[in-house]
Amino acid sequence: MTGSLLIITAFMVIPLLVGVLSARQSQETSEDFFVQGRAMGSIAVFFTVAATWWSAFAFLGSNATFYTSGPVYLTALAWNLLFGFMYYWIGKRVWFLGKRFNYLTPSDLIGDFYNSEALRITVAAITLIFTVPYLQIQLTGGAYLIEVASGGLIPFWLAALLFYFIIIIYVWIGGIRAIAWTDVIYGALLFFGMMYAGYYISSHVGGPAALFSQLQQTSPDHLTLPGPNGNMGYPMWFSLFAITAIGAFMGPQIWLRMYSVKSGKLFNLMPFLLGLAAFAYVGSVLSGYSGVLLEPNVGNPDQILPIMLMNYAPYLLASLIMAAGAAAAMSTANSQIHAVSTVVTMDIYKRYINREASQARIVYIGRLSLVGFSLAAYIMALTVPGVLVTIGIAALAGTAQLIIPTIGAITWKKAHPSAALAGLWGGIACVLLMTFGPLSAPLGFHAGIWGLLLNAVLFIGLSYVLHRRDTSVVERFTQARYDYDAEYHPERLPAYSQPATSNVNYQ
Amino acid sequence: MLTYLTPRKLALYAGILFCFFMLESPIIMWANQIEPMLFGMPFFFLWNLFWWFALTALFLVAYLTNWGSPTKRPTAQ
Repeated sequence: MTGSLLIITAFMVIPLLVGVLSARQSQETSEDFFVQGRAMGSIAVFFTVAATWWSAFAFLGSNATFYTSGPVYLTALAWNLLFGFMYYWIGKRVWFLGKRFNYLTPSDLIGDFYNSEALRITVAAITLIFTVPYLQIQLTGGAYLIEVASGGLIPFWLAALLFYFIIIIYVWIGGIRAIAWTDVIYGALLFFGMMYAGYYISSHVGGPAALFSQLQQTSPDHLTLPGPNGNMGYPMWFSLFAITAIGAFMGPQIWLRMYSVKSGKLFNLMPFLLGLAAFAYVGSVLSGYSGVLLEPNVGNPDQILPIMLMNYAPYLLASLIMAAGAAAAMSTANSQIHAVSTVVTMDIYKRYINREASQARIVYIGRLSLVGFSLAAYIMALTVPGVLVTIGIAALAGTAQLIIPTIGAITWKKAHPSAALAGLWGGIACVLLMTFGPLSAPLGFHAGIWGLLLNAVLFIGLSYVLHRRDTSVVERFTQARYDYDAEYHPERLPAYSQPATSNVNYQ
Repeated sequence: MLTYLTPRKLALYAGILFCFFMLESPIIMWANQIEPMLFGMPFFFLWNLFWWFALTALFLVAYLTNWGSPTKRPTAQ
């Protein structure tokens, strides 16, 4: 017990030290606090993107889904690849525009391109409302692990409180730089933990081959879609793939990790690195399926991994792996808290309350927002019950809707603000009505898929019908896209029928 | 119209689309079976791992070939 408490203590203290160290390089400017002066290096970018993207949803939710619903979570291999591809294809363009026009939030880019205050507010509201439930599941997941690892000595409410207390301190001190530094540690712990937990636990049933062979005899439904409950067929396979990747990618925490990057070249490599990291899910396959054989009657499936670790692994090893799980939760939660505080500060406070705010004042408001949103998520974790994956998917379905106006902004000069607004409202209404309202999602696909479909139809249809009059904004972005292509895709320049003037001589 | 699609870029993107198609289109239901078990794994798992590996490798090739785009000419600076 003493050993595991020491591991938990180390897990709490190390990020504080890292936060203090990183703060020595900080400057009291909003650009440094929110996007590290747009100068984040390659190692930090990879680890902070990967650790932010992989959360309690991945560490605990994956095991729970293999345990209860069969192989549907295996679609995670593809959604990691899709996430990586989007980070290259969309992220690099967002980064370029962010650097050129000094964007800090999703609303900055979308609001600027569409030249619409209504759209700016809508985007800020979506990012805030749908990020908080996803934040809540990180807290819940992390607290589960600390509670179990401490043998119940630290109860859930206290574990969650400690968890957030630590995050607030080091993010307050060091901003995104502290998060990126701690994410290097968390990321390494997380991938090691997932892989080793699977390998170790499956050894109790004779290894991977014996595990699959026994499952084929005792519970073959666990090995094919639609799983033992019969509700996880192809529609859910595809829905999870699309909604998880797009929803997480459109979260404000990932936007900040596009704006923060120092060099455009890094985006080219990220699909490979993020795709490769997905191999860690093999660990979840082994852990979740070992649970079917070893612990078939666990009430809360989200606790299957901690329970198996406590029952089948040496206490210290179990504690270390659970600390890795808590790292998964904390590395996402810290980024989300920081991102929503950025949205509140820049999109609400600076734009509508105090336009003349000094840099120091903006950073101070950002820090206060950290505390407010942490408190909201803490209260939700204590009062709103639910399975991690279920809450997570509903939240991701909301942020996923932002992909349509974003693609419009970076690629299409006909994209119209009213079309983007109608598409977003339509998509969000569809998600809410099919998730919490009287409608049910047709054909078994998740509400988020239908929301995206409606969103896209409204966006494209109305953009073709309506015409923009603010030609100066459209021209400004056409010029920026031209410069982007001149820099990174010179073969595309002939596609510009009337080349914008450029100071880069490719012609 | 799509003159900017160089042959290398076209091949890369076609390969990426094909791998995603094998992983996420309804064709996945054809692979949705336990037998034949290969390397001790159900066929469905091996199918997913194979296409994951193929696409990850393709992303590496894409990186090494600058995603099919010509590298910047020295005079561009």
